[in-house]
Amino acid sequence: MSNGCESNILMKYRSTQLSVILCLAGENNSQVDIIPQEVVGLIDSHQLDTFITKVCRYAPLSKEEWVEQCKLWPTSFHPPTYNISGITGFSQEESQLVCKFMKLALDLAKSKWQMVNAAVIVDPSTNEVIARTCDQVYSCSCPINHEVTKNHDNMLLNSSATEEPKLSFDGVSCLNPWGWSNQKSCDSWHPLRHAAIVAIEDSAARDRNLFPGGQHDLAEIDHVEPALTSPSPKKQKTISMDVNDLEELNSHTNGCHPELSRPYLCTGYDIYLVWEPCAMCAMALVHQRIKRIFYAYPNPTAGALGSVHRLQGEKSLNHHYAVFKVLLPRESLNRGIMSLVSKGDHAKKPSNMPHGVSL
Amino acid sequence: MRPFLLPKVRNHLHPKSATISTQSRPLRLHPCLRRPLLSSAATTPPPVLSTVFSLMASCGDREYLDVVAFMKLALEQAKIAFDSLEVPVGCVIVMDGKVISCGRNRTNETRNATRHAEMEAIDVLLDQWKKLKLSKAEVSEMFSKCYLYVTCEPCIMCAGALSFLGIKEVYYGCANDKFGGCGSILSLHTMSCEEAGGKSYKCTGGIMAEEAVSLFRNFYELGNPNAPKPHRQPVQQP
Repeated sequence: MSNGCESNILMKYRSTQLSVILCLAGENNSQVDIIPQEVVGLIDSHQLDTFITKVCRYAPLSKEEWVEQCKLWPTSFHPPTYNISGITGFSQEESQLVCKFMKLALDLAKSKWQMVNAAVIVDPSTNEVIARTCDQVYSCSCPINHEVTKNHDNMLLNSSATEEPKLSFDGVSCLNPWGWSNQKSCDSWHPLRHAAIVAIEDSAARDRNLFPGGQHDLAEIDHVEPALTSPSPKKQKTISMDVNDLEELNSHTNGCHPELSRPYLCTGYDIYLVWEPCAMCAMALVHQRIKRIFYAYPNPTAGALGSVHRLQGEKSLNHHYAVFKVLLPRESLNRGIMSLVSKGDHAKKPSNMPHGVSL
Repeated sequence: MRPFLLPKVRNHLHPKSATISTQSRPLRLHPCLRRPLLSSAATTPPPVLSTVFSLMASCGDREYLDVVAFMKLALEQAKIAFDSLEVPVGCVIVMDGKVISCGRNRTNETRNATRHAEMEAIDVLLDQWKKLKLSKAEVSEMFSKCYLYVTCEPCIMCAGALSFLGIKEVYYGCANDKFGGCGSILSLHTMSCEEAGGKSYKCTGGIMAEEAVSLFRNFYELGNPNAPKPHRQPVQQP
């Protein structure tokens, strides 16, 4: 309990300021000798009543613990910045889910023309798929139709000729982020639309669709006003009112979607990526507050989760996700390509996927 | 390869009106901004002195004043972000001495924490160039002539993106001790993979850093209304 007390006790309530002064109680609950002299002065001059109460020595690690601790002394809950869920191992049920979502990502990565990277964002509390996307660096349509072309035959040859699957995947944008201008593509292309970036965009769009209003309107205040004026107290009032409105709005929206609560970015969500993300994507996932990253294949040229950089170990970042490498049999990728060649092979596709992304 | 900058294209990119309309508000390119007066530079507190001197030594007074002028435009974008209750970061992209794009942070509005000023400005350019039917090779060539002026050191995500695009040079205001990708945490501007076609870009910091920092300070004093509840509540003024 020693940490965080100070920040919680100084709260400003409009014009009046409420302050709480805390001192550690002595061994035998005696107050007299342990209150600093300056504080004694304050107590005397303002005729304050002091009392002794029990507080928890350690900060809560879980929400349940926090609820219990609040019975002693109310605090606010700061979830551990480092995610430990899964680090001690997964149950069989959890591992099956992880494999299921990774298979979904692998399926998405099988493009019409070539292998690309794919991303699936999942809410692990409900196992709902929040977004499923693949690289849109060379094409803006998510590949679903598996058509047979000459390209695929070439790729099959390449991948069966080499041991390492990574060698034949030029279309995977995170593997070759500098090469976007050399690759063939259709009319719609974008050098930075890597799978993870597109997935974040889709999840943000979902958030705006499911929970309209709130900050969106708030953000449109006074674009026309001169830029140099600083926000007036009146504007401040608008902020706090809008936050309240938002809460109300949420409770209404929850009526429509009883199972949903308004997410803050991707807090609590997992992402499944076929390839280890590059620095741009890995940092984007920090910004969007992803909880856990699962990837199947390392990215030796540009990977930022261990191969070239290791963002999850950068202490200065304000958010840290846990990173898991899902070990897939080496032939998984090659088999993926095989299914491209044999038309209409949908056997690998998990049949009972939740349909969460109808945007 | 055919010559990639046809006269027609050039005209379209640099309209005579010298006004770039953005989604939020027109950015006026006042003549004095392109060739700034001495007095305008004198009224603003100088950035880190060593940077000033090294810049002046490397490129002369005139170029330094240009750098300051472009940074002022980036700061204007940051102020628009501030007024929209966004983390106040803004940027402009310059080619051939002219502003061809600008952007500001829109993370709260879009609920997409990757919509940084740089990403916004890059997407404006890509839209423009695609409308002109430029090929990917041409777009790549265009980026290699672009200078970015941004009020805060690009984060790791943006620094990576700028490296992938092959931007020519970056000038930034204050350093970004927590997320900076151009020297503070990672050095992605110098660490691009050469054999994979990556090019390094020159990066100069400390341009009008105090202005950028004071915007941040003002913003965080108010409290980010969109930060998660347990962490920070908007402070209510009396």
